[in-house]
Amino acid sequence: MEKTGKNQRKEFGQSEYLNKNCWIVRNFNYPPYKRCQFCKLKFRNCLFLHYQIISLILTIFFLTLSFLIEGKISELVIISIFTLIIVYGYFFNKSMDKIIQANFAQRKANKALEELTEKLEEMVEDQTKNIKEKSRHLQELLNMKTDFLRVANHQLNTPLSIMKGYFSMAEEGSYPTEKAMPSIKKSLDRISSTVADFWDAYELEGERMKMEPQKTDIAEIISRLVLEKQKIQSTREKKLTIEILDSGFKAPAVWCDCKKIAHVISNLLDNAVSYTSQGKIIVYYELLDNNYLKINVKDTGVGIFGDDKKKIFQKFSRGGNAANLRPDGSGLGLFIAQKIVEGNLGELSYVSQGKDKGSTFSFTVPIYKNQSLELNREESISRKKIIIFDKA
Amino acid sequence: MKPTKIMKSSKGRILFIEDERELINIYHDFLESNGYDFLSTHDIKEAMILTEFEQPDLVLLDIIIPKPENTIAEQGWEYLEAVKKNQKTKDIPIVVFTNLDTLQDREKSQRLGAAAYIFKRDCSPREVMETIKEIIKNNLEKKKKAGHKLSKLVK
Repeated sequence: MEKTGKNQRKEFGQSEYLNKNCWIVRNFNYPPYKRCQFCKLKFRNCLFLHYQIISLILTIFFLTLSFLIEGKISELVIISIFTLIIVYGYFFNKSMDKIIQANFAQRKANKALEELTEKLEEMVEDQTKNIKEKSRHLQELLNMKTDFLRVANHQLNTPLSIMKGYFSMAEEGSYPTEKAMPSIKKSLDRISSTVADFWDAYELEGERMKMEPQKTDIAEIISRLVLEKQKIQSTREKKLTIEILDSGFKAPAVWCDCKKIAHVISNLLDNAVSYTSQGKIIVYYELLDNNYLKINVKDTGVGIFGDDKKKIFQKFSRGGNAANLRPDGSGLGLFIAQKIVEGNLGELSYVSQGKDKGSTFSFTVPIYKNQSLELNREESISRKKIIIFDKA
Repeated sequence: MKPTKIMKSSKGRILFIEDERELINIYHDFLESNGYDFLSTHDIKEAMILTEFEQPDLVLLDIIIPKPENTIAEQGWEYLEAVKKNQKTKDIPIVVFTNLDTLQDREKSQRLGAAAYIFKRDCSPREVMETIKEIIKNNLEKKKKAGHKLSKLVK
């Protein structure tokens, strides 16, 4: 059952299109297209058609002539004319075949070329799109880099200008040197911690920082850090208490990179101290379905609210109160902490009831269950003050 | 009337817009001990109000000042633009006092009408004070000249 709808029909000029009822198609195996399917000529220009028409006219002309001259059409004339036409037609057909085949080959080549061009165009378009996308991405990266350098510049220059100020005043003798010393020291610390933070952020961004998980007694680390933080100046000045709440169970050993996790805990405690003006800071543990240990640091500080909620883990992000309460922050602390926790297969999150209602920062670490080290563990060179490579 | 009119004994009133406490301390100590009146703020909105109502003789403006709800922002430009547009404050000289040191920043400061540009890191308080002194002096002379012209016009 052939479909005869317009759309189903092959187009003119394509070899698949055949009107099988056509007399010429059936007899000459040559379809009567408006244009020849092989050479795409219009039929009034077609040699084969010319041959047919001229043959017909000549036949009629000779027959008429013979009738007019002799009064009848002799059999000899009829036979000779048809013989001539057939013989001539045979040779003509043979040469036509060659022409048609040559044209057909050319058409095929043309079609292939067209297809190729189309494909190429498509490819070029795709590539252009790709390149545009990439250049946009690069532009974004470039902008980020500019922003980063601008911020880095500012973060490093600020403590330098403070030191410059104190130094030149001390030089003039208009400011007592001893009084300037703590501020100068603070500025120095700030520069080194900013530089360290930048590098950490850079390393963590491309996941270049290798985690070295091991069985870790996290409770010991936390109690050590809590003791440490109780002694720092701002804790004592603000009369803050830091305590570890009894969770009713012994904190199990966990599987993590102990040094880096210690950095996270230290950072969370520092934040808690900086953003709390009075009250206390509580550390407590929770067990999550026996696979994870959750460590919570709860404070009674300024809390997190408004737009800060979205940005808190972004690079160079500092909360609204951050500038006032902790002018020396680089805005990288929580970004780094989050990357470290994620690198140890945990999650860092926070809860805050709102402004001045305190906040709780929590992170999870997997509990130790005979995990073993990967074999291709690389010896890492951590940022120590002195490293001796040539150990005898 | 306003307290500004009473304190004429000082060398000038300086408004310092800065978010770094340490720097505020340094310049507070230094400028006050050298006979200047010193005001400071880290809030841009407050700074605009202060500029309009206190009419300081000079503003020392840091560019990077964190917004209350944002991270690090270059709010100083907004302040500079707003102050120069306001008829009441446009004659107050503003010294851009910043740690940004690109050519663009310098050009932008000039374009927006800053009186001077000081790169914080490389300048001692003494140098800053010398600059302040000069700018205040220049501004006073300018005002005097304008006053003369006005009085001539009235005549």
